[in-house]
Amino acid sequence: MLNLNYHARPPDQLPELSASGLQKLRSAAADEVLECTREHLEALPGRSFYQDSASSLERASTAKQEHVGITKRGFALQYFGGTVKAGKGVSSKTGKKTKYLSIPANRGLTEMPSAYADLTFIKLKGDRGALVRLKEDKKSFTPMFWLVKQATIKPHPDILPDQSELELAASLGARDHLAALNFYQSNIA
Amino acid sequence: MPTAASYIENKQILPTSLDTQGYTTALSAQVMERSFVMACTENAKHLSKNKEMAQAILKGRLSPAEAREQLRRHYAETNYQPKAGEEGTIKDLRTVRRMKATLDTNVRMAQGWARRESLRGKISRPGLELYRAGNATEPRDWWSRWQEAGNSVGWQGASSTAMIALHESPIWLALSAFGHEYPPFDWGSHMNIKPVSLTRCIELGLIGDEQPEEAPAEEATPQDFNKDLAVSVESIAPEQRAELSTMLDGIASVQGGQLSIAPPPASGFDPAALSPVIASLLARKKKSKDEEEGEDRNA
Repeated sequence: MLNLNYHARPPDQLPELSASGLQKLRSAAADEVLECTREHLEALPGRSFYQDSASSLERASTAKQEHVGITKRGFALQYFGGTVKAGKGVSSKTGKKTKYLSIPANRGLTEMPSAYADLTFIKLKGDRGALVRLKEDKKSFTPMFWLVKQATIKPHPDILPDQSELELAASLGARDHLAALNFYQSNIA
Repeated sequence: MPTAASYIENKQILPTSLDTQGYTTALSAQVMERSFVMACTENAKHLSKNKEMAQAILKGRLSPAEAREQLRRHYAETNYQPKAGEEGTIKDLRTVRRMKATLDTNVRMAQGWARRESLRGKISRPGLELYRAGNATEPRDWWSRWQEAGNSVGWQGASSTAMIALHESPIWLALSAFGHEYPPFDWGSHMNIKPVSLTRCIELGLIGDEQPEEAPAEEATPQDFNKDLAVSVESIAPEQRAELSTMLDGIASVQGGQLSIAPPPASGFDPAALSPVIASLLARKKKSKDEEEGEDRNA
């Protein structure tokens, strides 16, 4: 899960609140941070990855903090970037540690390589390879997966709203919560 | 806060030989909500593995493709074979289409439930808006469906000019093909819900603009999963009701024509006990239906 820490300033002229009142105020601020993040993710173009990331947003509270997390696998790697190396997972074919990472050669390939029958391994220059499907003439082929020893993902900080947007969302959530308390004439002391 | 993974965790494995239409007819929405069920799947190991994979996706431990890969391995290791003539069809548990249908539906329902629960009781966001969160190949006409659902509940707590309603409005239930108040509201639907401010709810007339004398229940904690859950058992003969009451001792109680599920922490029962009871009831129901059909044929 991706966890980022932000410190939001409390609203100006904060009324005196009980411990539970303060926690509700914090929750309202965090709710709006979640909504801001969700809207941002849903507006990102391209694959369903970001839609799924938006659906995986979750919030949790502790005594002193509010957490907004994204449980979608791979999201943190996209956000921070990093290098993924072969040899961590276990090959479903051999049962040994993987020698390569497989990258689908086209977007229509949604499954891992073992789901596709009749794949042939070919060695390419350097440390690379490919899993291909041979055509009827047995000479030409269609590449299905590119095989590499490691893959580097660039950081994509823009997949989350920037800090000023999140802070604005937090203050909007807190402000609206206080206005609602006022509307309902709640006993907030 | 409720998590999507806890929704799946609370579900009990329910083996059944019935197809989707069969079990949705036989089981109430409440029982369905509490069961991990797959059409025509009686093997508890397969059900359990699918449940485990749905949880792993929700917890971010596996991607959907990795989860399907693990399912493939599981089916190979357990020597799963589809029935003759069903290889490669949706009834074949190994097909991508079937694995996606099971995992995606369960994951999305769990996320929909967690989302609705997390939005419950927010005094500054008392409304919910139905909106399209993803592109559909063939979008359904949700505006017409909203109007139809609104009319069916007399627009109680719901707007007829925007797809916005109060959290507790009955329109959410009327909208759902599954009998749930949370998204997805239909198979493969990309419609989701988002919170609506108090100001907007006042503008739409869903909440009066005068300050009420009493504040609403503020920041309600998520409801117990079984709160107010009751199923009518009026169609069951009194002696069978007594038998049912004995079978469900500690899990549920039968009073008059109602069967009420006890909340787990209070009753201290093992929820896993519910699964064989339901399975036995379903088997009995199927047997009795088969016998009736046999009698009809003989007649």
